[in-house]
Amino acid sequence: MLLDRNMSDDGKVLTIVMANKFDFEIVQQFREHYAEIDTGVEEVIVDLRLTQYMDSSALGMLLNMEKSLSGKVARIRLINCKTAILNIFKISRFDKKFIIE
Amino acid sequence: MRILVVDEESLNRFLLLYMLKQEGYTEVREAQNGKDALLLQEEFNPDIILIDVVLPDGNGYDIVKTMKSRAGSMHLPVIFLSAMDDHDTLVKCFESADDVVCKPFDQTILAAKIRAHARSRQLSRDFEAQHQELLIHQQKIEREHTIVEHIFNNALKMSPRRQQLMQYHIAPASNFNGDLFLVNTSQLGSLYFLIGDFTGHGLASAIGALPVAKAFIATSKKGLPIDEIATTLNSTLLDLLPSDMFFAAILVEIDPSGQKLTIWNGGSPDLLLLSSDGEIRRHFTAQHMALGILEQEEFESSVIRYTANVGDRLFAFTDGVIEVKNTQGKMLGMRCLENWLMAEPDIDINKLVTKLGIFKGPGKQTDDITVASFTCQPLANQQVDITPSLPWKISTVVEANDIRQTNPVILLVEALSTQPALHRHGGYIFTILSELYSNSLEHGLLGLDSSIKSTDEGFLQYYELRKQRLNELIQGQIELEVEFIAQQGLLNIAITDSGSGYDYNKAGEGKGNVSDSYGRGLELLQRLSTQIEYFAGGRRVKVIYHLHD
Repeated sequence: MLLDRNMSDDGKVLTIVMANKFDFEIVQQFREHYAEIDTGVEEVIVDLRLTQYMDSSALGMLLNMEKSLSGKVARIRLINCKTAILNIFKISRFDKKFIIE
Repeated sequence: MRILVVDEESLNRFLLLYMLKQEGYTEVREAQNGKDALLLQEEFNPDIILIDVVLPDGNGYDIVKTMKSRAGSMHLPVIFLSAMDDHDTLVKCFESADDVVCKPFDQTILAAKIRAHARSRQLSRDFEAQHQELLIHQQKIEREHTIVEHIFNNALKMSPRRQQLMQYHIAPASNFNGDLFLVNTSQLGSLYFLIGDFTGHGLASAIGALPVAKAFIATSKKGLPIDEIATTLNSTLLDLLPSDMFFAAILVEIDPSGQKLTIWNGGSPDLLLLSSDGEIRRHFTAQHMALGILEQEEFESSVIRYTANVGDRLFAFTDGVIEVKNTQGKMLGMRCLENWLMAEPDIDINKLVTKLGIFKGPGKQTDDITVASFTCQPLANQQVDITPSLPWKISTVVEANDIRQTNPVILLVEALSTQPALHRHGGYIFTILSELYSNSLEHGLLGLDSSIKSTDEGFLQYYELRKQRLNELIQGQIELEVEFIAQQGLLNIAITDSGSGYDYNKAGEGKGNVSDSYGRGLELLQRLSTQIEYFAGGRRVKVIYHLHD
């Protein structure tokens, strides 16, 4: 499993659960998960509970998602970040673009 | 039934032997004095003794006392033969023997007495045989318990370093503990602990500890979130335990700052958080049922998150603690325990256990008792390495063939993460190595230009192109070196590629815009490491990473 996708019952929240390693190797797959998003989705959650390893290509992928979805969804939340992942987001000032928990 | 006859008079012995033969007793021996009687007791091992009160080498009373004491725990019936039947003689006879027959004796009565004493001898023999059997059984059980205890102790042994992260005390009520306390650290440096209580105590409840420990150690080492660990443990126990057995437990994750707590409490007493001046900040009351009861689809894994202050102290107990009873049968209770802690928030766990002992007073401990505490402060401050780290160096050269097939970075990081000194740094080391490797491969060997990544389409295109050029790569190599300087607590990381070089002066130009989807690698490198140096026209890059940040 590289990543997993869940839609809430009311169709408003899309959750993408990332794997242990988040980098360019899943670029295509990650993009497919949000590319053809249904109208009605209000919130996209990227769940990083399993992610231990991440590099700058992952940051690029998240930013591309944000660009592509801006105007379509109200919020993008990055949740369950481990300390190292959280620090990488802070260094990259991602807190300005995303809700990070 | 073996019978020994002791009498000085040969006529008396003859009459007795004759009578016994008529009664059907075939194993009969005779002695004419006390000395011979004692020798025969050794040799013949009689079941019943008929003995005269008066013997040529002393009185019968003393001989009987010796014979009785030799028989040990076996009952040896002795019947005195006495010429006198006065009050004092009879009383004296019964002090050491079991019966008296007066001479001249009535054959029918003597025969009846011998039969009665034969019965009690037989009872004593049966009893002795059962006693021996029980002794053997008990020894066997003790031996088995020792073996199982040994296995448990080894399976649940915690490394001294992990033990130092928390204060705790474990006191089982019997050989085996139905309570379980485990501490572990994840590869990313979080502290995990589990405190729990299986229904009952003794071996039956301790047996569940092995699979729980195995699952907890494996999942916490990986740094999985608490809700997922709870779910895993629940399904493990559901498969394993009989339906009337379950495991009340608290699972806690503490981040490396020592302040962010994630808690799952299923059926256990409240977890308490106290400030350093003894104020109770929070009760973490059980929100769930114990583990091993609910089917996976009913199971609730939701957790409580809480940010504590440095110096706050977290206390965890199993129910054996608050249910300790004093001699009047009154339970300690949560309120009383809280009062103790509020009065002395920095109490040593061993002192707390002593207070529990004083409250209980003399008497048997009826349930397993476990107490643990954690004082909130950065975990790095509390980690005491028992063995000093040795310096080491690791390097690998990947050729075109390897580069096409694998990504060496993750393999290298996973190998490095097993080093105790690097436990909490795996995530950062991955990022650094990954940035360096991507630069060497993508720019040095594959000649890709990052600027095409500026659009969403271009981003994908870049990685398509990377894949394509990688497949065509037939020449080139990348060397990765990691050197651990133990004394200074730092890593020297170097990467060298065989490519055409790289204009590192231009690399960071015009970047820093939050929304740029490329060009962040260098910034990350600069922020995560203390020094970056380029050599050989950008083909070799050296980075220093400090472990104490």
